[in-house]
Amino acid sequence: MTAEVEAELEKMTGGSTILARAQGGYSTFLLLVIILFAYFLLWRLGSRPESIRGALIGTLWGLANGSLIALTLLPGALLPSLLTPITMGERTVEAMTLGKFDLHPIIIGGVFILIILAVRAIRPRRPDLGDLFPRE
Amino acid sequence: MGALELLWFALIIVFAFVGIVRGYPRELGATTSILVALLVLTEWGEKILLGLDAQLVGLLGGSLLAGPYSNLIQAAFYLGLFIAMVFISYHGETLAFRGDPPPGPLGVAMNAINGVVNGYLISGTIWYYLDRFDYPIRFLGLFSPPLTNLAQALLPFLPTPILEPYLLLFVAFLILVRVFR
Repeated sequence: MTAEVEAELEKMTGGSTILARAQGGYSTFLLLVIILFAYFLLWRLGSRPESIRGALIGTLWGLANGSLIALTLLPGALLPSLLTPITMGERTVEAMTLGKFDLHPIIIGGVFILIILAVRAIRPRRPDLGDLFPRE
Repeated sequence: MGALELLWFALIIVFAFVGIVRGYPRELGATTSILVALLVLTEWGEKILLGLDAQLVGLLGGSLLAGPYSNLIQAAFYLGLFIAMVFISYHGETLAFRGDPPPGPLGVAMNAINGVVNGYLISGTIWYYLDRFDYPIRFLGLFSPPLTNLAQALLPFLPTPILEPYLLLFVAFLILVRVFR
């Protein structure tokens, strides 16, 4: 049934390609966002609120780390060369079946963030990143 | 013997108390080791088992996995390896996070939650492998099928089916957090 609808739509739209998406679909993309956010939190929370420089370095460091991990584990989500074209027909059929949304990435992401917050609460706290470049 | 899921819940509660006593910085170290154990079993367990069996064929004159006790042997292999790795993770503080939990109810709650997570991972994994090999401990009289409706509904929520795609991610993440805390 789904294949028939998709074929009919393809015929109607002339098989036009409208956009590209990462291989693996929305779950992979969500997981990528969660990894980046988790690492952002990890490093941002490591800095004192008043230390703008430390916070900035921490944020950039966190995003870089998260990107590396994501690139290693989910290359399709980051590398544009692995993006796959999607046609109007495929997109429409996909939208019709959105009820099967995968909750796994959100649950896993929530666990990541909980772990980070728990680890940050361990005392004594990690030394501030802002102290890496002390003023003379 | 009562329902299997009752035993599972009871074990999780016991682990919650273990978490409260040990503190979650230590429990997180155990969590890391348990996830490593799960990763080893899911990724390489079958290869190791088949390799061992191939070595034993020459000695015993036949494959153990082709015999009538195949399920029992496979369950014993997976569970033995897993329990040994869990024992190591609780024995000593090799991966424990240095430091103390926050004081007061918040600390106690976090200790209990991490204990519950470890209990879920350990007892859930044991249940998963027992189910996968058709409960070979039946001959001990510890369990008699069929499973209750609740137990059947819980099976898809055991740690291995849920965490298998993310195990490597979790292990890498916990080790990084441990180093860069």
